[in-house]
Amino acid sequence: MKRPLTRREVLQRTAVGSVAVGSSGFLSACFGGDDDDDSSKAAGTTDAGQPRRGGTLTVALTGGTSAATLDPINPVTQPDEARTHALYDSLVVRSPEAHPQLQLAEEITPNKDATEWTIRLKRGVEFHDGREMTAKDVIYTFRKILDPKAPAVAATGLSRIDTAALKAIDKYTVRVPLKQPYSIFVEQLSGNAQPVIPDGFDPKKDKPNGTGPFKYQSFTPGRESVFVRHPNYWTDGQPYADKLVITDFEDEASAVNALLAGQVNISGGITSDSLQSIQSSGKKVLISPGGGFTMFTMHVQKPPFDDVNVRQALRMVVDRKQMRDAVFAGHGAIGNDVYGIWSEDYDHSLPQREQDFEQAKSLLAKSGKSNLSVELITAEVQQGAVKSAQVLAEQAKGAGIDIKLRKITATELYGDNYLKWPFAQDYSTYNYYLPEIALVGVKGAPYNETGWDDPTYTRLYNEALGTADEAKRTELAHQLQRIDYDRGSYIIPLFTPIIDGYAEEVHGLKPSKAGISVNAFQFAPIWLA
Amino acid sequence: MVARRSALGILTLLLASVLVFAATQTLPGNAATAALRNTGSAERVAVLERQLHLNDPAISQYTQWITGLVKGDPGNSLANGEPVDTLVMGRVENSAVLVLLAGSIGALLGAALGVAAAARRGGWFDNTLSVVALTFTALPEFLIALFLVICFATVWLHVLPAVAQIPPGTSPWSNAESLVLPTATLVLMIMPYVFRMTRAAMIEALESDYVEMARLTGMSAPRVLFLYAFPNVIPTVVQVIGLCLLYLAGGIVVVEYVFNYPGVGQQLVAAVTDRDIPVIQFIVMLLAAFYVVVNIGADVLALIATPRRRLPRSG
Repeated sequence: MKRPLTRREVLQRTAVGSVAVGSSGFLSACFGGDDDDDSSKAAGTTDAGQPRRGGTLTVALTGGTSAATLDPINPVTQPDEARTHALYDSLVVRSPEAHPQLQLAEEITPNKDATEWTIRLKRGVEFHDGREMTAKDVIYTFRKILDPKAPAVAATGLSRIDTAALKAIDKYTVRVPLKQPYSIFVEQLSGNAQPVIPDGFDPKKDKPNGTGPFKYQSFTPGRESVFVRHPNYWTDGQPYADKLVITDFEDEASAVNALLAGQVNISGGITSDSLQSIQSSGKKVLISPGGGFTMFTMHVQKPPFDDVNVRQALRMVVDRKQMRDAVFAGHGAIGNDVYGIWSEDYDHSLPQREQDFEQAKSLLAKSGKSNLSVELITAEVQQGAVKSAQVLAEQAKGAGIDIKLRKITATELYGDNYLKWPFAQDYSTYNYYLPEIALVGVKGAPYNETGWDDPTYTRLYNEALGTADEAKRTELAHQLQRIDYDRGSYIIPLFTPIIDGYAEEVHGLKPSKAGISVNAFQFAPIWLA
Repeated sequence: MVARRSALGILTLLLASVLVFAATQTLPGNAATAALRNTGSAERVAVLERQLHLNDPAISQYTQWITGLVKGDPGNSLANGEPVDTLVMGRVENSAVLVLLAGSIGALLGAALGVAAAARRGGWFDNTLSVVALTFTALPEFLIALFLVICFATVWLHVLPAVAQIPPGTSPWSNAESLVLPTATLVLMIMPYVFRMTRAAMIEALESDYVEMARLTGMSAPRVLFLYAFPNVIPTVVQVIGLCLLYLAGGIVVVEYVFNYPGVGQQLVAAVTDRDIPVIQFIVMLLAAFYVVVNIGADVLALIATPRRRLPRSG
């Protein structure tokens, strides 16, 4: 049986790399969305002409530290993920529309109740050491990620795989039995940190060996990685660059300066604070809408946030457009307190929440909590986090709510009190709606910052996981989103825009809603001229 | 005296080690939570904490560390498992180049200008330099660094690299272009200080009786300046240069950060973010040792340059 997803099947036919070739600058217009105000338009894409081979592509990224690693299944920092994408490919990746798109898999199909999936692989895909990728490698990858002694980053999302029963039907086909129904397997596979590694590979010790567009040459944590072109890459003609250098920066201003001085071709993942200096210098910027977000987390088991009226009142004090102007210079999508904004099952019919002081006050009065005073723990967990907390505190005054800010470091936020703060912040990279619930929305989920454990919610979620029929599953997802909207524990005012600065010799960059900078780290289609 | 100072120096280092250790223990969060950021579920954090021995009692962690350090083994980085000394020593050379280069240029220029200004006390040369020096003393180093970057790399002129590009494994000398702006920033930081102190000491010397005497003998002005006045300010200049080297050891933290210069200062910032305690401790101990050595060195040099203080103390 084929997976009943027509739209996705269209995407399945498209090789990841090839779509980027010769895309026009016009492409950005596709991302306008249905919100006129949404600044999700790109401020310029690169385009025009036949892609050219050759050259060294140098990319500056911040967030790298000496803790950086080449372990592809346990990336720690943004540059780690960039390196993984350069050196390795995955079965499924995220398309520029932020939907699953097959990469090393040719087809992935479920049985009726989504308890068993069959993965058919592309043929003729070569690892850097010349071996061909086969079913054995895929099975090894799953077992390595799910190793009970050292579970990898993606282990949570794939935990339903029955690793002992994984089976190679033939050289290019893998049967994946699941311990419980799992309708969101393909979505889950497109998440990060699950590249295909060769059978027997030790990710901690061995020299990187993937099927990715670039081969390993050198790596110094926190400083620089140098990769060279993989000549037998499976997408014809790609990668275009002969060499890829990723340079780590501690400080965004230095990374931007390196771009302005012509020392790097791209300065990826910068904040809106740098927009002006880049634009006024004649370099270019690409602004993608992005689906990651920084949220305010309200712990539902701790007063006063155990009271739904308090949570709803706080959501109502936010003037989201004003916050967007202040925090992201007007870029990025507006949030509606529900995550997974680009998911195919996202409910766009939920009314956009607007600032409403009167209703906020009356909700608080109803709970006997007029003159509410709360402490908000804020840390720069993500660009703009502290600024958005300041804006929230300011806006809340309009409803008579006193929010006291306590600024701490991100390391402290993720320290001993993580998951226990009554009112704090955290961030999430883009994820589809249902897979995100596994991470934050059920009891025992690893990032359940708000103590969320709602029986109706959990029941609906489990039902959705056992529903292979997409229409029915979407219906269940909408019911779940209604609960998020009516009594959830997050305030999601904005989705963080993704901004890259680049020099004019760079071509082949496209805006991506997947929430990852620099072409969602797909370096193969980028070319220099 | 040297022996006594050295003993005191070692005691200072021991005290510093206790302080550093205590300070790193009070940092919120630990290497496990820092390394995993928010990819760290409780299980993954727990596994890593066990691997890194983060839950051992503080005293046993301290004694383990200090005995290792004395034996020349500062342990492994918590962030990436590499031996701390190889991680740090590679960068010590880069920082040393920066400190010594900026230190010598800054000291020589500062002292020369100080002497020149004192000789023309009250003239336009002296007045201009004094105002400029005062201005630079008041500016924080990151502002000077940014100003230089704007002038020479990104906005006005595009003649120098905005950030240091020193590929791992190569020496900063082979990337001399990358050294210019970081060095210039540090020079601008210390030169005004050396200048002002030299100038003041020189003026004092020029007003002294023996210089007056020398002048009265009909000696030429340059001869008076260099043979009589200058030798008397050497101890002061040596002390000031010592202070400047110490200042530079701290100043590189900011400058390396701004220029993405791969030295120990940048590494220290990164290590604090990563809660990579062995690396923090090792770098701080290196800096402390540098302080002690420079202090002793400056005292000894000043002593050599001051004949009358070389006599044994009475009582």
